[in-house]
Amino acid sequence: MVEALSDPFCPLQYELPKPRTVLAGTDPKRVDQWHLKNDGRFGLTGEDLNVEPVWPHFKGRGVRVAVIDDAIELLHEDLWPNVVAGRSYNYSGRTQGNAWPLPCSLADHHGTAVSGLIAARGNNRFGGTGVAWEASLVGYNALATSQDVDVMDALTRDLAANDIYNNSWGSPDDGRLHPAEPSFTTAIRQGIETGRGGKGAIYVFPAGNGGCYVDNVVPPTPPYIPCVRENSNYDGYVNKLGTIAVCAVSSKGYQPFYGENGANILVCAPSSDTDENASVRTTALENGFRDDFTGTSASTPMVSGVIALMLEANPELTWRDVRLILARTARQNDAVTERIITYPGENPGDPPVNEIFEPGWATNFGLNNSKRYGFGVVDAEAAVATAQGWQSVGDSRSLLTCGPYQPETDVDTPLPDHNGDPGNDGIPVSSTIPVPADCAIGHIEFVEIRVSAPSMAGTTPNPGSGDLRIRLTSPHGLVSELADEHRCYNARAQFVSCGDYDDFAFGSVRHLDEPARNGDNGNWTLEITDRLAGATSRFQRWSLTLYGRPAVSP
Amino acid sequence: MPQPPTSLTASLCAGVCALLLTALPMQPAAAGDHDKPVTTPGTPNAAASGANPSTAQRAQRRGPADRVDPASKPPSASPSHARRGSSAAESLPGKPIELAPGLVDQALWLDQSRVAEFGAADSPGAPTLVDSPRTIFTPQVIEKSLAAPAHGKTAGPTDNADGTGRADDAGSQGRSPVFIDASGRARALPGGVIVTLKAGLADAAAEAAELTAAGLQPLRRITDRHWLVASEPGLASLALANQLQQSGRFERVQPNWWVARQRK
Repeated sequence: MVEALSDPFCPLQYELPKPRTVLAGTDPKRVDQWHLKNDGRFGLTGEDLNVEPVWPHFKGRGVRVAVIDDAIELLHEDLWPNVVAGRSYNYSGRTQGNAWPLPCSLADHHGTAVSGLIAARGNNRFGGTGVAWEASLVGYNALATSQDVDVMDALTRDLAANDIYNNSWGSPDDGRLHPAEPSFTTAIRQGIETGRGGKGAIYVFPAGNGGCYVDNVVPPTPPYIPCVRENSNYDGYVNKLGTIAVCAVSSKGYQPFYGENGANILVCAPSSDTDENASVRTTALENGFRDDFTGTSASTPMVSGVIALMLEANPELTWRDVRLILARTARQNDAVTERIITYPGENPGDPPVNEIFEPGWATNFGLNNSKRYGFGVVDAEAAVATAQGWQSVGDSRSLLTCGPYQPETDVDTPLPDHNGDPGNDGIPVSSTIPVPADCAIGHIEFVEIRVSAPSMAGTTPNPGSGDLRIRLTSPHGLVSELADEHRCYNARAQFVSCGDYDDFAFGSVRHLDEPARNGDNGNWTLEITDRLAGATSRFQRWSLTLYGRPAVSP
Repeated sequence: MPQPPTSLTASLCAGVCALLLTALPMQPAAAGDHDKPVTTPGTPNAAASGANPSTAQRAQRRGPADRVDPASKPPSASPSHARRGSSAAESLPGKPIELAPGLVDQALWLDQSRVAEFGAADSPGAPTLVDSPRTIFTPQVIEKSLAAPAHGKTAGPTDNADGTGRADDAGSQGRSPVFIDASGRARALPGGVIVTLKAGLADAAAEAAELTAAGLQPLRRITDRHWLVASEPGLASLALANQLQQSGRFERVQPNWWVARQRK
């Protein structure tokens, strides 16, 4: 009796591979995998993960990574040696429930590319090399159905055995507000509290690809859709306590054209930009290899791979430890103070628009941080070295929570509409929450900010949410840039609502290691400014929740 | 996967949204028009076609990544200060569908021109969204459906309130109404309800017994206290979720939504 591996209606059909010996020898494609070691042929020397020094000591052995994606070609010769037999799960089709989340058609290419970046078998004289090339792999194709229940199931499946859940997916990058569904939030909470025997599952997500500026603008073909300029914080999947948001940097160490800013971004990893020769090399369908993988989908599994190396080096790390180590050991990239970048004009025929690009680095409590790059590019060697001697800060049980706090008086104030004058910065409305002295957090690890600022236009969703700039300032003067004015479009290039700030939850890691209070000053201020003419909103209310550890702690 | 700036359609709907896109015709903008994702002629959609995604992407790339010389092009004012143009499609029409408190986390609008079909042979798992030849879902149909008793089986009303079709069309054959949420995303109901049991039950067996005692058919345990219970697709699952939520017997009840998620 031969097990049916895939749905008989699928164009792609599979057979179990015959037993074979894994060869030994250099992987032929590794030399061009510049994200592992950039020798300067694809960008700038050293713009990579700095992972090769780790491999003589750690390759991810004993660490299991679950890839949640559209499908995974588990039978790929470069993945198969690391696949845990019988532990994957298929949510789709007539073979639903079996352990083969295989691609149904060539459109299901994504998860296979992602998996190879994590754990393509190294030194097997075939294909390329994963970051943690002896880590164990399982695959869950929850995106094949994209049902809430399957996503929740995948995020909590085998929590005792899986260490890392790689999620190279998220909400649409359309500039709109996308709160996460409650089942998602519940799953993440469950994972960090109970996964890995209480040490917490590690959830890695992409920051998103909705930035979009161009270097050489040509007249676009219809429909003309300007850039969205999405902020990663608009995606409720990637701004949660317990999710690690990963941004991309090009082979030159720059933010790529699709890069999103965000106070929720923890670290970056290499990926593509407009130079097509410097896209990412990884496994492809039908036992193949590709040189064109792109986006924060590619950066995310690289970070998952580095975390696998860290966990092999120190299996006792908690989910909180992993975040702190990544932030503290990340490499500051893009040291250029400023340059000019070009956005396409807003309407067909409009000239391109040049803007000053600043990396935006600032130092807070010993850590470099940028709204574009989080704490910088992951450095595998530094992360693993730090992991080896790391004294744990504890798991979910010891995580302190202060709040949620609300302002002492209701805000409920109209936001003055912008007058359209380019020289006018707008009129901000601010509100302050005093964090009380009994908040014992001396080192912040995460900040959640919930904001209600609906349109004054009646029952329709707020068309003005894209008009608003939102900033959070801490008692020490550190600023989290939560939202910027932007426009949202549908596929026909029409303005559409960007969504409503209706108790929308932002997340910030910008304040990592900052004390909740500055001496006697516990004032956190939220400032909202209408920056586009045409729609008016009302700053109704907000709340602040701080997560962290006491001042006396590792 | 990131797409160049002029191909937002592909960027919006790469991956799981591909089926949705291929099923929809191009529609003109009109007053009150929903924000429907549509296929754009001439816009490559690699994921939908099954082609190598790099082919489409490279075809639209605009050149090398060399940065503009800062000295040669002075910055202009931010376009963010410009006055916006108007659009009939800027906001969603009418009032949102009224559901029981706590049942959904966002306001929903009914898309009366489309239905979601689940279980097609060439589309296992994800739905195909197709134009509806007649209006079979209306707010009145949904209201009646939510008011009808539900016991884990189809619980649709017997007649369509507007007389344009029988309402049992709406709940049968794996069809669901299409909703548009406040984020502009299409949603549909593939069947099943996610139930969160109250704390205090000893183990999975006790949880299953509690569900069975409530007249439900537990399908699978997702994680501690969270179960998927059976319902037909479409309005039946919404009606069951509504009824369970109102019963107060469980900590939380959520319909099992299909919603497009994007590969990055």
